Amino acid sequence: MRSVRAALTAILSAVVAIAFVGGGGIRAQEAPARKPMSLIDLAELPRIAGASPQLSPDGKTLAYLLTRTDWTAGRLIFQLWRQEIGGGAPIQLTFSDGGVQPGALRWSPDGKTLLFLRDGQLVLFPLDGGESRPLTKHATGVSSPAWSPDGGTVYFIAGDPTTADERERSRVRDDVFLWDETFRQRQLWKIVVSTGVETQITTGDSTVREYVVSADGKRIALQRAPAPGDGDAYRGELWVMDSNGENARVLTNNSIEEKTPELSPDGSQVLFLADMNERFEPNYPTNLFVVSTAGGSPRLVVPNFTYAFDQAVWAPDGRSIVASVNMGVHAEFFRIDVDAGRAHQLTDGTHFIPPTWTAVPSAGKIVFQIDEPTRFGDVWTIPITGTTVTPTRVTSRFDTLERDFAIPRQEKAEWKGADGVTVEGVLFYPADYRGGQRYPLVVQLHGGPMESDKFGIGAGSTLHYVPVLTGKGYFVLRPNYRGSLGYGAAFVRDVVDGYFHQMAPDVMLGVDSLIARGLVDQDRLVLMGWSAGGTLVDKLLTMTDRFKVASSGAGISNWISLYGQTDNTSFRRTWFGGTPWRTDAPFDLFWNNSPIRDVSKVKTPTLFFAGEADTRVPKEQSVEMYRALKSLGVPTQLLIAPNEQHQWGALVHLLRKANTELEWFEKYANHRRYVWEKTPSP
Amino acid sequence: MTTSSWRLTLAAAIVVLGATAGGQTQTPRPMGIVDLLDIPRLSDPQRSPDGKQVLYTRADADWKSGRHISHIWRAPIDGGQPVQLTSGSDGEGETGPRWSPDGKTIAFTAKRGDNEFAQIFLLPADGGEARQLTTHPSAVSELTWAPDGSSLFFKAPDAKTADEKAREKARDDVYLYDENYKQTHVWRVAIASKAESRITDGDFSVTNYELSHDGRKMTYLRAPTPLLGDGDKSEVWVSSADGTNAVQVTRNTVQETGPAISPDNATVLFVSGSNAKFESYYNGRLFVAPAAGGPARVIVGENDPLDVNRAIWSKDGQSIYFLANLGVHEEIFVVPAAGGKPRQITTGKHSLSGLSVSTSPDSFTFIAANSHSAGEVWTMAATETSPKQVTHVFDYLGRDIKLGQQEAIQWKGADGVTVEGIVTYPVDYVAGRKYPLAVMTHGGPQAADKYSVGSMAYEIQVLAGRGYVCLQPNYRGSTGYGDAFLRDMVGHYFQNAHLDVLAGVDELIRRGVADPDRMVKMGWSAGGHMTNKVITVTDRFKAAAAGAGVAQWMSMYAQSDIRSYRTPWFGGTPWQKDAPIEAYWNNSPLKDVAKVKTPTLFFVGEKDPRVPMPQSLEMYRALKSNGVPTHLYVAPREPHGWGELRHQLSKLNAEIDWFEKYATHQPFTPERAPGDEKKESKPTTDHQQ
Repeated sequence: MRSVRAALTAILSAVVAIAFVGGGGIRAQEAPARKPMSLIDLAELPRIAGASPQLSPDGKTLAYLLTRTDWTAGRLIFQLWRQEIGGGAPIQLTFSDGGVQPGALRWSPDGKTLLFLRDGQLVLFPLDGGESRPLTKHATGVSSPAWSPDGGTVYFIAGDPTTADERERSRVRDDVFLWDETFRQRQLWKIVVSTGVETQITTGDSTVREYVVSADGKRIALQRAPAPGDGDAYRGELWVMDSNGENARVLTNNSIEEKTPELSPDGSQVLFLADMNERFEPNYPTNLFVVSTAGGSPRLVVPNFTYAFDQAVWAPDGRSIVASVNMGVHAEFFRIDVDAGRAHQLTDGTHFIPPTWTAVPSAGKIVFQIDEPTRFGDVWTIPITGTTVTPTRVTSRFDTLERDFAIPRQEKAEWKGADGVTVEGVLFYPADYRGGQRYPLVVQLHGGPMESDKFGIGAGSTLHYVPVLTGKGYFVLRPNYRGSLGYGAAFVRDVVDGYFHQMAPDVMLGVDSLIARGLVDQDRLVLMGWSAGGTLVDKLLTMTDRFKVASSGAGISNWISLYGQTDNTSFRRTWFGGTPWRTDAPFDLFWNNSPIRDVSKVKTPTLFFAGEADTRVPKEQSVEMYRALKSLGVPTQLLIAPNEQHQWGALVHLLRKANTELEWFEKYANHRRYVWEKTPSP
Repeated sequence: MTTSSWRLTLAAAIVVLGATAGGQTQTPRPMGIVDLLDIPRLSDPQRSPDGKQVLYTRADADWKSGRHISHIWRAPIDGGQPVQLTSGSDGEGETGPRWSPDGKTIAFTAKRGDNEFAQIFLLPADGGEARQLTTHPSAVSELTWAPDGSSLFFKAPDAKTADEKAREKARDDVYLYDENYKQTHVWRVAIASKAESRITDGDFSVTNYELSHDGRKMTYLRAPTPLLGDGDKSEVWVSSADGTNAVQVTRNTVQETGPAISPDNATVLFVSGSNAKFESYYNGRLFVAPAAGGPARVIVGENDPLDVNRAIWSKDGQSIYFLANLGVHEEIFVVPAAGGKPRQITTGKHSLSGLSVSTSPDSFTFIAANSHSAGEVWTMAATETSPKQVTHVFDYLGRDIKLGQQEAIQWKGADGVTVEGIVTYPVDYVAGRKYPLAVMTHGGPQAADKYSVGSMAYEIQVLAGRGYVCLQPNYRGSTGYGDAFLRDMVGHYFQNAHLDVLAGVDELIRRGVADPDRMVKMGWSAGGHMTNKVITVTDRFKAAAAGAGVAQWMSMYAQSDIRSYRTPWFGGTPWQKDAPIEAYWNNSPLKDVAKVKTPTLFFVGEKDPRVPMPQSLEMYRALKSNGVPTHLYVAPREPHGWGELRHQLSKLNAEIDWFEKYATHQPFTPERAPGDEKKESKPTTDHQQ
C-alpha cells in the first residue's frame, strides 16, 4: 500500500496554517472545582442539535435547536433559539413541552419566517412576533422541507398514506404482513404557502430519498430508489426534473448509492458523493462525482484522493466545490477546483466538522458546528469563497464546560500495524493523569466499519460516555483500525474478501504502543464496541484473553446468518465475494471470518447488548455469542432493550447499559465496587 | 346426537363415518378454511367423584376477539345435553377445571373483572355464580384439591418486586436475556380462610407437581429455571405435602415428565425420552424409582417398541396405565407395577389425550380424535373392552361437511425400512383418477402424524375438499416406530428422513393416486425444516410452503429456546472445541439453497422463540436473491404456533392460493372472516389533498 503518511504530509504542507478566532480565555481560568463527569452530567449537557444551525439569508441571525434532557419523557427535547451574529445573548423562541422536531429548520428566502417540524407537520414561525402556525396538514408525516427561491412554495417529502382497507385490517388486527414487501413509498410534494394547497410532484412505485431545488427554482435533482429501505439505497439513481415533476430523466446507472446531490448554480451539473471509484466499483472511500444534467457519465472530480468526502456544495462561481472531508481523526473543509481536479485544504485542527452544515450564498457564508475536545459543537462560520479562511465562532454554549468538568485531554495516537502501515486513533487521558503512572485502558471500537473516530465528543456520547470513563481514571483509546475511512482506498479495502485481515492486529498493536509508552497497565484492559465495533470485539475475544472484561453491542457473530437477517447487504457484497446462497458460494470465507467459529476459545467476561427491533444486526447475532459463552461457562449477560433499533435512543436504556458496563469494568478490570447512578426523578 | 345408541367402539365408528360421509339428507359441502378454523377443541376431561358426569373445557373460535375462547362444560356420561357452566367474556379454564373431592364444587382459573392475573374461582356444582378464591400477585395454574377438600394446591410464578414494578412504570425495561424469568413454585390456599401459604421455595422452579393419593406426599419436577431450555436439567423430587422432607429421586441430564407417587407412597413413576442409562433421544420410556430415593428402572419401553407418553397409577397401586404412541394411532395400555408385559386396552384409528383415571372400579376418561373428529370425550372402565362416547360435538363433520377418507399406508424407505404415513383422499375420490398431491411433514421431529381432521398448520380436509390427496409421512426420526427409526437422525438429522418422504410420494404415484405434475410440499416447524430441505434436493414439487422452518443449524442452535435434543443430531454444540461444524452445515438447507427452483412461501411468527424469525429470513432472502418466486409472511405477536384467527386465515388463504397458482392452476377466492363479508374492500387510497 502507498504510504498514507507520505500522502498526509504532502497535503498538509500545502495547507495554509490557520489560527482560529474565538474560544480563548476560558482555558486560563481553570478552577479547582472541576469534577469528573457523571453519566447524568453527560446526559444532561445541553447540546446544539446536529444540522440545526441555520443562518438567515442576510447573514445576521443564527437559528438553532438546543437540547434539554427530559427525564419524564425519557428523551431529549429540542427548543428553538436565535442568536444575533453581531453579539448579544441567545434568545429562546419556543417553549412547548414536546419541543420542536430536529432536522427541518429552514429560513424563508426573505428571512422573515422560520420553518420547522412539530408532530410530523410543517410549522411557520414569524420572526417579527406572534405564534407559529401550522403549514401542512398532510395525511402522513412530512420531512426534508425546502423553500422555493421565491418563498411562495415549500417542497417536502411524505410517505404514501395507508388505505382505508389497510386501516380496517389494522383495526381488527388482521396484520400478517409480507416481509420486505410492506412499505410506503415516499414522494416529493409541494405546498403553496399562501393557500395551503398541496400538490404531489412525484408518483409511482419508487421513493424519493433526497432532493435539492436549483438556485432559480426551475429544476430539482433527486435520488429515487425502488423502495424506501436503507438496504435499497444502492438500487437508487440520480434524477433531474423540472420543478413541477416534468421532463424527469435519470443521470446515473450503477449499483451504488448516490448521496447528497447538489445542483450547480447554473443548473447544468449535479455533484454527488458515493462510496465507489471512477469505474463505479463499490467499497471505496466516499468520492466526489459530477455529472451533467444533460446526460453522460459521472466524472470522479479528485482522482486518487486520500481522504473521504463527507459533504459538498457548489461554490457560487460554479467552478469550485466546497467540501468537508474525513481525514481520519479529524475533518476539515477543502476547496475543490472542479476542472483541475485538485483539492485545497482550508482548515486544520484537532476537531470534527459534522457533515450537516449549510452554505448560505446570499450571506456569503457557510455555517457549521465544530466538535472539539473542550467544546462539543459550538457554531462557527467561514466565508463561502476564498482560499484562506478564518473560522469565526458564533455561539458560546460550551464556555463553562472545561471550567465545571474534568473533561479529558485528547491527542492523536499513532502506531504501526503488523504490516508496517501507520494506524491512528484518538487517545483520551484519565482525569487524574500523572506522568509515570499506569492506568487502566478502555479500547472503544467504532461502527461502520467505513467510519472513523475523531477528536471531540463524537456522536452517541451517552453510548460511549468517554468523559465518564476518563473521570473514573481510565485511558480511552478509539483506534481507527483497518477498514476505517480517511486513510485511503487500500486502508478501507482491507475488508474486501474476508473482512478481518489487519483489523485485530491494528487494535492490539495500538494497545501495545500505549503499554510501551508506560501509560497503560496491561493487566487492566477493557474492550468495548457497537455494531461493526461489536463485531470486532467478538472477533478479538476469540483471539486473545488479554482483556479482563468486554462489552459488545449489536455485533455480528455469524456472517452466514447475518447476511440473510440484515436489512442491508449492499455494502457487504465485497466482503465475502458474493452471497452465501449462490452456486459455489464462498462459505469458507463467510464461516472462517465468523467470530462464532472460534467461540470456544473465549475466556473474557463479556456483556452483550442488542435492540429488540434492530433490523441491521438483529438481536439473534448477540444471542449466538451470549448462549455460546454461557454454555462455555464464561461470565456473560445479554441485555435486550425493547423497541430499540440499531442505535438505542431511550435515555433510560442507555443509562442502564452504561451502569451495567461500569459495574463490570470496575469489577473485572479494577476490582472495585461501582455504585449505580440513578435516573433523576422527573 | 345423544342417547346410548351412540355407544360404538372407536373402530366401528370409523365404519359408520364412511356411511355418514356417503349420503345424508342435507347436501354436505367441502370443508372451507373458516370451517376448519371454526372446529371446536375439547380438552382436560375430568370425571365427577360419583362418576356420573364429566367436566371439560371447550374452545370455540370467536371471530370478534379474533381468538379461541374456552369455557367450562359438563356432560352427563349416560346421555343428555352437555351444559356450558361458565361464559366469561375472556374465557375460563385454560389450565383445567377440577371437581372438589365431595363433588359439590368446581375450581377453575380465570382472569375476570379487574384481575391482572388469572385467579382461582369456585363454582357450586349444583348452581350459582362462581366466587373468587385467590388474590395472588401472579397467574395461578395447575389446580389440585387436597383429598379432604379443605384446600387447593396451585402453581404460580414468584411475584414482581416493588423495584421491578417501579422500573416497569419508568419504562426502564432493558432486560437480561434468558435471565428475566420468575421461578415458579407450589402454593396452597385454604378454602375457608382464603389464606395462601407457600409450599416450595428457593432458586429453582417447580415445572410440574402431583399430590399423592392420600394427600400427604407430593412429587414434582424441580428445574434450575422455568425456561424450556433447562428442561433437561430438571429432576424428580418427592416431599411431604407441606414441602418439607424433600428428597431428590433422579440425577441425570435428561428431561423427565409426569412424575406420580404410588398409592402406598413408596414408589414414584415418571416418563422420559431416554434409555435405561439415561442417555437422551429415545422413544418415551416408563420408569419407576423408590420414593425415598434410589436407582430408577425402566418398566416399559426398553424391550418393546412403545413410545410412552403419560402414565397413571391404578388405584390399588398394582398396575400402571399409560398412553403409548404407535405411530399413526395411540392407545391405552396397562402394565404390572412390578414390571412385565404391557397389555393394550384400546384399539382404534385414533389419537388419545387428556387421560385421567378415577375409581371405582378404575375408569378412564379421555379425548379421542380421529379422521372425522377433533376429539370427543370418552369414558371406559378398565374392565370393559369398549369405550363409551360422552360428547357429540363433531357429529356435524361428515354430516354437513364432506370429509376425505383417511387410511394408513406403508412403503419402503431407500434402505428397505418400512415407513408409514396417513393418506387422506380427496372428497368424492374416484379410484383410478390421479389427483394433485399435498405432502405434509409433521413437526417435532420427535412426533408422529395420526388420524386427524387437520389443523391450521395442516389443512388436510380443506385440501381434500379442493381435490388434493394428502400424504403425511411418518418419516425417519418419528416416534412410535422403535429407537432405531427415531435415532436415524442422530449424527446428521437428514439421513433417511427426506428420502422417506420422497419414497412415500413415489408410492402414491405408483398406486396411480398422485399426479406427479401437480405436487406441493408443506410443513410447519420440523415440517418446515423438511420442506426447506426437500426443495434443495428436488424440483418435483410445483410449489411449497414452509412455516417456522430452519435454514441453518449453527445459528438455529443458538437462537432457539431449546437445545437439548438438537445436540445429539450433530454430535455436540457448535461452540465446543473441535465442534462438529460439518454436520451442522451439511444438514443445513441453506447450504444447498442455490439449487432451489420451487416457488416457496414462508411463514413465521414475530415472537417465535423456538424457530425464530431470522431462520425464515435466511431462506426467504436467499430465494428472493436467486430469483425464485417467494414471499415471507410475518405474523405480529405470534409465537411458534399461531393463535390468532385472522393470522391463521391469512396463512391458509395465502398457502392455498400459492398451491393453486403454481400446481393446479385452479381458481381460488380467498375466504373472508365471518362478519367481514358485508364490508366493502376498498383498494383505493384516500389521499388527503
